[in-house]
Amino acid sequence: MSIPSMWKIIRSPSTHLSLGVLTLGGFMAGVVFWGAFNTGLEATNTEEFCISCHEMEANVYQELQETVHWSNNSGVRATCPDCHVPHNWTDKIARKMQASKEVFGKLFGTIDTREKFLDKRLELAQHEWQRFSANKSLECRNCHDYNSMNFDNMSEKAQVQMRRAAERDQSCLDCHKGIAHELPDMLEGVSEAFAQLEQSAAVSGFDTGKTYYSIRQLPIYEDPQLAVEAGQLNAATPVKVLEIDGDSLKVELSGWRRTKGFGRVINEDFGFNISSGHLSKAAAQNDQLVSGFERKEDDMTGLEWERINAVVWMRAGSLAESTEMIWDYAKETYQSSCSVCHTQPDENHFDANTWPGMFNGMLSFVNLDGDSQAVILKYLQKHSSDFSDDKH
Amino acid sequence: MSINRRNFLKGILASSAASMVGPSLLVRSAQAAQNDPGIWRITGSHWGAFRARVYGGKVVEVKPFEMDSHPTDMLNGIEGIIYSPSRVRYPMVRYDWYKNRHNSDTSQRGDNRFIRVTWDEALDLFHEELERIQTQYGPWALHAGQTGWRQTGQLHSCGNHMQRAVAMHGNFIKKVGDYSTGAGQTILPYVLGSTEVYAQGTSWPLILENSKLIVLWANDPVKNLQVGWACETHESYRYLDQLKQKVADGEIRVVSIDPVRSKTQKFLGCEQQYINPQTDVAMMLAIAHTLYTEKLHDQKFLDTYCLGFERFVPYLLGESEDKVEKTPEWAAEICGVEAEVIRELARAMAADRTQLLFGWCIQRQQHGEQPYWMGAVLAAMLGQIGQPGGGVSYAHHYSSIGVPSSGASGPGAFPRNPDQGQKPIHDNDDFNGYSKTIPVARWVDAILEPGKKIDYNGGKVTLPNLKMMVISGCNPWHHHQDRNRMKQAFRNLETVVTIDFNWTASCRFSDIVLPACTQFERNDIDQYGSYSTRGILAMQRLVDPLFQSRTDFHIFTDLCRRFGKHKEYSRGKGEMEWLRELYEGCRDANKGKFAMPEFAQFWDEGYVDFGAGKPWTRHAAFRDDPELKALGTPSGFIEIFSRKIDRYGYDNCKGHPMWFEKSERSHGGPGSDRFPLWLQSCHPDQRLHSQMCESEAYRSTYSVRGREPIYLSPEDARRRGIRDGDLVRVYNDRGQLLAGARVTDDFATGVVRIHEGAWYGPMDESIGALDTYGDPNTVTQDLGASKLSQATSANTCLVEIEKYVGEVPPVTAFGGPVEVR
Amino acid sequence: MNSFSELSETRASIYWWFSTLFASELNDEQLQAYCGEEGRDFLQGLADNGLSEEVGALQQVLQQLAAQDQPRLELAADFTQCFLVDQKSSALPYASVYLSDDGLLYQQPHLDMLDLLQSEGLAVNEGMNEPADHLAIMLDYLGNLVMQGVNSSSDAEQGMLLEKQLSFIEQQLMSWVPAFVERTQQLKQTFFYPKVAMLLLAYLRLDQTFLSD
Repeated sequence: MSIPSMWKIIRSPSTHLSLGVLTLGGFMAGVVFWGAFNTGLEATNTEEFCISCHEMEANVYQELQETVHWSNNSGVRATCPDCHVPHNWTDKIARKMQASKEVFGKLFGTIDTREKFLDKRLELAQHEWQRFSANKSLECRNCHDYNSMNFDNMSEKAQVQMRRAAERDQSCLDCHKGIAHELPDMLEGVSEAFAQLEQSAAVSGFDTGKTYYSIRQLPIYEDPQLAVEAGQLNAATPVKVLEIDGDSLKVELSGWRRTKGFGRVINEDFGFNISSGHLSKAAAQNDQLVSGFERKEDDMTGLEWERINAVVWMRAGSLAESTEMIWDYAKETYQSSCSVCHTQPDENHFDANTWPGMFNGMLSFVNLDGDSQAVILKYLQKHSSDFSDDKH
Repeated sequence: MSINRRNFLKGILASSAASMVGPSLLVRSAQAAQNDPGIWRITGSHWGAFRARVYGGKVVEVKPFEMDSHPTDMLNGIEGIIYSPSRVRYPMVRYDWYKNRHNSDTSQRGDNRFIRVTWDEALDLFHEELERIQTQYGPWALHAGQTGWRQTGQLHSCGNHMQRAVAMHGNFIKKVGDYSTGAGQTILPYVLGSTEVYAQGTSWPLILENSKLIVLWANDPVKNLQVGWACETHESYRYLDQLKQKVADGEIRVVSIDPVRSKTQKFLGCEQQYINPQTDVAMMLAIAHTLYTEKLHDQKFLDTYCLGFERFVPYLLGESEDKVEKTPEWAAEICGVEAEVIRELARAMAADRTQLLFGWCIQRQQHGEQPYWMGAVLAAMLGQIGQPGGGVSYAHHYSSIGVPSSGASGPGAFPRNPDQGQKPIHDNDDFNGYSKTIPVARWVDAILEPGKKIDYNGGKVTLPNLKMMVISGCNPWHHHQDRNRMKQAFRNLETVVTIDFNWTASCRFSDIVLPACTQFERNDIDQYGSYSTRGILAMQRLVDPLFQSRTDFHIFTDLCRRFGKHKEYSRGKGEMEWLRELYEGCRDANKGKFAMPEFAQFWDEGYVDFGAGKPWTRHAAFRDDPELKALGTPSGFIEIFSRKIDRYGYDNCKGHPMWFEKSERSHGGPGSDRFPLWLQSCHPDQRLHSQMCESEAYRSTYSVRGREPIYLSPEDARRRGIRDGDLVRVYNDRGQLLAGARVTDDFATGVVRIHEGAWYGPMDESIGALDTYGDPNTVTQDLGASKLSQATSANTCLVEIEKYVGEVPPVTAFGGPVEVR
Repeated sequence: MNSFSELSETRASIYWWFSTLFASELNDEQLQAYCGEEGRDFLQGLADNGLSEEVGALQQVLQQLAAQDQPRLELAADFTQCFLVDQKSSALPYASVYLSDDGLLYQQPHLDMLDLLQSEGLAVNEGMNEPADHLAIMLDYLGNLVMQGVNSSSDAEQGMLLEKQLSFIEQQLMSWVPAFVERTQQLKQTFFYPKVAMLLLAYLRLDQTFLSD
């Protein structure tokens, strides 16, 4: 194709064929075409270009208009490329390569209806989230700078979070997912408040050998295909990633269990009824999955406990790098939900093994979804008198 | 006609009177006569929901809500609450305190004059005192944690308002536990893994269908179900009607183990099993002994679901502790129940499906943990825990527990805590070595013995040196024990602030009294059915706040204004905004499950119905899978023996349930030679604790000679020359009171009752003064139930009675010139 | 101004004076007046007209009051104790408390007063926030009724007006004020206002006699 005609086509990319250049052979042209290519590239880095596709214009572009990045006090507005096209050249290309996959989608109608778009939204979002996570939200920082933030102007709640984020130079999108477009509906049946916790805390990429924490109760499986159920992980349970297989993770769950019964309930530590999760009967008895070590009698009950390691599979999602955000959420929800009729007891008012009884007795008085309940109980137990030096 | 007086008064008397005559109270008005019949509004209360007709700005008629199938006749007392002559009408300050502040003569408290002040002045004083306490002492000197039943309504929940506002100013001493179930809620988590007392229980339909024997142990549901924590629905009564029929048809046997022939017994027409007061544990032990020795117990259940039975058996057999075998013969001596009767009851319990239902009164005594623990052990031995119509419940007499839950979510409430990120003005968190939280019933101990270390639930509590108390929506001068000891204690307090709508005894002993309005003078929202969550109810304001009373919301917003936090306190929102928000929050929580209209429609219609719930069995999940659905005990199982408690090493609460002799007990027990009568002060039949006592009309339906009735047996009356309707003096070493005698054979010899909630009205402020109305807490003892719970022991109390002769003092608890000849 | 007018003014002013006393605590200015010449003259005037005993009691108290540290506060505390607390410590100044079955506030007497006020084209000052059967309001109203005599001319008219006043006194006031006053005599820790109440009762009886003739 001749350069001028390509130029023309790129300018009006409504023809299917034109972008085939980029996807199929753009790079082959080599450096010689760099100039034109660059210009061409710049053309595709305009909002106009992006929204020329109906899929973008009708969905995410509309959503943007409801947000502060479209309209605000200061009249500073972000356009599509400002966030979505890396300002750094090589990243830009990389992005573009990926985007071209999206364009491919456009070519072949992968998301040409609202429904299809919504179905794909999570995947598309996750690409961006991974990218932002990898470069610590570099695009945001072209305008937003921690050093220029006036924390005193923020609400009390925001100040607490923002100061902490600034201290750690945290990636903006760790918390601010959904800042410009609607969030994917990835958490069916989860309360909105909890969903927000999940958005903020969940990481998108994993490293083997590292420990992560479940944000909520999650199913675990015997196999990488996630077909054979093995039980359930409790909220805020640490698991070590052993292997990554596509969207599945092989994880190790360490803990202790009572030997009386089927040994399904795994507790965090010896003598502590802090539930890490439970296994199905089959899984609990399967020594391919569960390795047993030393056994001890718990003096407090006279029951025997066994240390174990369980190796199971789970979906690569809903895991956080630390418990920090989870505890923040739990603490706030606890304080507001449990102070309706009486002042809520201090976390260290009871020990870890007393909390379940107390908590169960009060559940009918609050409107907490199951996940919030699990997270709050764990929080209370982990901040109970067993773990606190605070005077009470 | 001229209203301008001063001009005209320049006439005759004129000059002299002119400055002595104030401005007119009247204005010209051309208002036309009202001829509308008034408007109907809907609202709710502890006594149930109702509609009220408001005419001429006044409530003139009250009728029960249509959904209430068994409205209580206490609704007749509603108008009496609003228009009570005992209303606190203006902000008041105790005169001596007004002049001398914290240096006032505190010995006058209770009988001092007051002086009216403006709201501004009152709130300024309140604020100044909070400031002084925080700066001069510290957070440990301020107690703002006392507990009460408040009025209903989620937005205007008074304790929430007071604590949020005070917490935004500074930290303070809080409490744990309550007077209702202090011992029970402390022991049951160790045994059954949950507080149990405030939890939904096995549904009545399942009990009616499956139980063959129901044991009401110290339980009078027909009396207690008239009131509820949130808006009461009285749904339980439908089931009690059915139970009555089943008793009549011989389908279900109901045995009421009670020293008194109760209202429930009479209603159901069931059997009464008399028992000597405070001896229930001995009887339960004997029943257990029978079950064990006759091999009627369910060993398999004990092996699968329980821990520690084998350590309890030696005690039963007389091989450990006191080395006394707990035979029915042994128990018969103590309990006044024949050994064979005990055996028969044990066999009957084991023979078929048995539901044990305990009331709360039984744990409001010394060693109150024991009867509940032992009840659980009995249920475990019967092996029916977790089966429909079997097992044990501690709450079927409370707020319609037992009526299935709809599964809907109820509305939230005005926040009790400051918002996240809010720091109090006085951020001092140093409690000077004192505990921040104290067992609720030990506050008088704190005032009298600051710094004292007490055992509590496995730990130690250092009682703080209290200087100031803030009391909101509760009445410590009703619910706490030993009035004379309280009088002593109150002399040590520098400042007491009480917010209430009635001149309760607590107000009389305060320095600053702030008039709150009743719940009928504000808009609110409530859950219809505390546990059944049958629906959501609009509480439409009936009339505007009377006199100078205000909503707590208004009062505390203005208090916060004094330290610049009123916007944060109210979040900048007014009453209706808050209501809308609470409603919408509820609507969100129910999205997809229960349809709720928009707020405006809801407010107009007044009620949203969630429908009836599905029957459910308590502990069934645990029975089904004790591993995955383990109980919240240390082991996850039912702990008949608790190593944890055993390790505490307490002498009055050990590793397993035990019989402990009481410090005073009738029928041959300690102290019965001097004071032979056991005084029971259980929940009243025609009040909610002390609420509605001020209603003169309502009180006249039960009072005797204008006093609270004391119920006693014909034999005890005869021996003392007392006849029904006589005025009597009730006394022991701790105090004395006047009451009106009600002689009835519902009461056995040695057993007397005065309902708690009778308003305290001492002759004067002196310690030991005679109470003129009949408050039983004038003579009860202020003693922790045990080192475990440190709960109230109100029902460990012995008295003597005599016919009152001599000059009769008027009733000084509320009412006017009631002269008694 | 004829003697009937004069008399009406005098009687009305006395009722209004009483109303003021029962309406709220005395301020400094008002208290000063009592201790000054005007006050003494006024009280003496009342004493000379058949109320010497009751006025004497009041005068005695006023003298003692003058010697006190903070007389206005003392009086305020007395007022509060007498009327503002609850029926245990005080004598609530509302007809409903003494006339209704239940002794509640805002009962029929309050509604009746609203009607009476309305029939004369009057209403209670909104800021007051008290039921209409408050003694002070009823006395204020009575004063207004009496004042109607100021502009009357004919004997017949005067007779009618007096009739109306007598009717009000007998039916709306004397039905409960004696009980109220008796209550004030039983109160503890009071010194001034019970004497005012006694004086009021005496005056009402005097006026009643006068009107009946």
